[in-house]
Amino acid sequence: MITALLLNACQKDKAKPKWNVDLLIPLISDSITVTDILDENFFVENPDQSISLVFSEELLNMNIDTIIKLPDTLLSFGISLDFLPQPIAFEPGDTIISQLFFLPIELDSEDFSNMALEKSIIRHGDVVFESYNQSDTDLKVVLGIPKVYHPESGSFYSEQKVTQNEFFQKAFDISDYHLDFSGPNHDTINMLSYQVDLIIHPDEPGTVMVKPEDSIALNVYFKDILLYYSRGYFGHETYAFGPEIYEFDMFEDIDVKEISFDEAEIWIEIKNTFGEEVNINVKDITAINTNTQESLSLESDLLNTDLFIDRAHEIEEESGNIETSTSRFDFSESNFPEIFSIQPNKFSYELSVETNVYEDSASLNNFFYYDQPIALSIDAKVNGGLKIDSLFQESRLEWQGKDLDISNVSEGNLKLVFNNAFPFDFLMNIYLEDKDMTIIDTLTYQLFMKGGHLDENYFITAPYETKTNIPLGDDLKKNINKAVFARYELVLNSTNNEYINIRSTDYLQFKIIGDFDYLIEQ
Amino acid sequence: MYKLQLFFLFMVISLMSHAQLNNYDLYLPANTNASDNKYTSQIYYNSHLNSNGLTNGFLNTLNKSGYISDELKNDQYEQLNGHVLSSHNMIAGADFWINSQDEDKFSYYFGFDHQQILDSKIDADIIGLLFYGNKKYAGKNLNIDDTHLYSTYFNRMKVGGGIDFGDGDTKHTISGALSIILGQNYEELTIHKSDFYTQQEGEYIDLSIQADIELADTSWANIWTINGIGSSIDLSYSLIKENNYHLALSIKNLGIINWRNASFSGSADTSLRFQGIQNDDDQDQTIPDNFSFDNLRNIVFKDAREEAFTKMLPMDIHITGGKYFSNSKFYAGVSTVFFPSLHRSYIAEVFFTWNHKDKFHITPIVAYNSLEQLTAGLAIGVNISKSISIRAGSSYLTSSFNSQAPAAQGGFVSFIFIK
Repeated sequence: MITALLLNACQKDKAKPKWNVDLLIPLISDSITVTDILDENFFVENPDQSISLVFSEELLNMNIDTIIKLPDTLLSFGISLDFLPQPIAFEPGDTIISQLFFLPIELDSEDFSNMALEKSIIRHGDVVFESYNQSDTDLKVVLGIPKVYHPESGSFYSEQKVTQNEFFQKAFDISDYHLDFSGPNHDTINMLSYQVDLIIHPDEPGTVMVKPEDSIALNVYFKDILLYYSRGYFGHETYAFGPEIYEFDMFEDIDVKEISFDEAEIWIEIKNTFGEEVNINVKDITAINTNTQESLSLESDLLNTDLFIDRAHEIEEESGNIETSTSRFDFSESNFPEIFSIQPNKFSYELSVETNVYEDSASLNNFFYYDQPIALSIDAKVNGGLKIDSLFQESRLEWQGKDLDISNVSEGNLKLVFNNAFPFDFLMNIYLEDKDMTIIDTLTYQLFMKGGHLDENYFITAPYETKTNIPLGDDLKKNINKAVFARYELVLNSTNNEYINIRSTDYLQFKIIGDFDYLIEQ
Repeated sequence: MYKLQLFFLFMVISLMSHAQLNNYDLYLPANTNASDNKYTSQIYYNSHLNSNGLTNGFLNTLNKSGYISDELKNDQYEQLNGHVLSSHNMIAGADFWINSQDEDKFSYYFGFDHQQILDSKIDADIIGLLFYGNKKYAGKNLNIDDTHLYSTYFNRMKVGGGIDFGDGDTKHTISGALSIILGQNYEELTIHKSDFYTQQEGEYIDLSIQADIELADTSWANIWTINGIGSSIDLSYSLIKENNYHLALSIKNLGIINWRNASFSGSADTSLRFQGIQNDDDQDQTIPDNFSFDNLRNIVFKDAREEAFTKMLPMDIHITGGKYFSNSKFYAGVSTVFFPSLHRSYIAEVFFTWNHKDKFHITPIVAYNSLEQLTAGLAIGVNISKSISIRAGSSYLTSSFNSQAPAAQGGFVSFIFIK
């Protein structure tokens, strides 16, 4: 600043002296920390600043098909007019009959026998409407299902022309419709009401005669109904799952060579999102590495044991806002370390789920949401270190070289100083790139940087410094000005090929310093 | 074209003339404004360059735009110790006096001048940094304090008058001039305290600084540049008794300039670390995009204001007196100029003039200034005709040509035309 001002003052008199100075100018500085190298989703910092590899990987999630599927239901209305004493004349538009029916949905199969539904929301499915008109008159048939309603468009309602002596069929999509099974007084279950009107079709040319032998048959199907939400009582049942295979990609994500699970804490966590308490009984978990064709089954005292998980609670009905119930089961004493040692990429499992363990059928407070299935995951915290082999990292930063006035550098070097406080060895390449990210110069290639000094616990005690000088030739001068980006590539390997322990404070710092003989020219 | 001619005229004046501040000859005073003259005019140039640390050789090379060799730098740097005080005053201009030719002995005055004033007190470490760069100081903390740099250029257009009165051989002259000032540029930087540290390997540079700055147009373009407007007065009183004694007191540059163009003022009390371009740049920790003065000052003085400010001129006070001997064949006197606002706060001279028949006089001078420089020189005055005189001299003849000595340079020249 002062120098600039002094020179500036001199400039007034148009004096343009020149002289050489030796400058040390920091040009680029960057640090790489643990989170730059390893996915922070897999790490947690301990009180002593050591880093433990942690992961929580979902093994499986499950919805109970029996609960979420409404059985295909057929409701038949055979309407005979034999109560008429004689043929009666009707004018077009006259109503022959108008009737409200209350009928329960069919849940009388074994699977559904204990199910008492109060309300549901349909994820997708259809109502199919069939009619057969055995008369000589065209009819307008009205079907209304008042308790099947859409929050925006209202109750299900359909008017259809059913031609004389013909069969009619039509399916209606009732996705997102709500079902209210509680009856007109909200005091029952599994009940729906249906409004059926038979009307002389207004298009009839004139008076028509309806005879006692005329009849009309109506069928209403609930078909392929999948529920998004239900509330009621789903019964005390035991459902079996598996054997089934589940993908497990954790080891690909972590990208490390080996992990020492000797000091691992391993838990199986079960998150119950259903409004019914459950017992989960794990029959078998087998790890599979399809690359090595290895497989290993879990051995634990907790296998074939009921693992109880309390029910979830709805904070507001139908809102999807629930308070889940989670239980964790300690599998540290199992053979999980051996299981992980084969670095599985798949798991097969077999288990059973017992619902409504307390068999409280009176409260009708069971619920489920389709998009919030019961989840079973494995949590592990690995304290025993890991091995890293050829882990590749790269980063690009803006170089702003055009702003560096190095045209007056008579001679000099770019000094590269690396302080490696990681327990990794690095191989580093540094490139200068133009605006199109094309390499225009290579500052270092395969520069070896030894990992920091380790103590007996394989923690870093001091960084290891690596220095190198790059002579500043004319080409490099040009490229420094031309460069828009500096990109570095790092290849990491565990120091001494040991299991290494990482601290959150570990870092690699590198600096590029201009060591210039610089001609100051006013 | 007109501008060019004026500029040329002024530059000729500036280059050829040397001078003085009043219309009497300091070394052989006489009332040149005597009422029997119709008018008096002079063009002049006067310069003082003093430093207690920077050598003549170094400053000569600097001003000649030459290459400053390592040898020159080393020779110069070895002479530095503590703070280096330097001052440069230059004035060039022209005066015109018109006598009223009547009994009241009133005279009218107009004139103009151009002044350049540089004054500094600089920590030797800054000069070392400037000479050698920061590599030499890597790993060392440079503690820089009590540093001040002041520089201003301005032009004055003056009008005024004077009156002579007295009895017999004793005459008093009181004169004054009011100036309109066209300020050209102004720079003032005060560093109260600063620490500068370059890490041993150059990995980072730490700078902490407490400083104030006031600037107006740091890049002086030409004599016509106007960045401030001001006003000042000059006052002068002299008493002369023919062939006996002379006393005089004058005050110059008593005034202010309001700097309004390209102004910049601010204070800094900050710490910065320069460690290069970073991916996660904190603005306070990035290397400057460029090392231009404007960029650097914006980094250091973050909350600076770009609004007009008003500054006093660097006033000076001149006192002189002397005694004639041997029927005015000799004149012995003293002269002191005080610069209250500058680090070189006074220049004092003792002189002895031999006057040869009012046609020629020569004056040995011994001078001393507040930078503890004792120098000697010589002045001459030649009356070429009854109307034309030339005066020239320097009190630095013993120092100007010693390239190793702390800078003490300067002199004056003036051309006087009397009718």
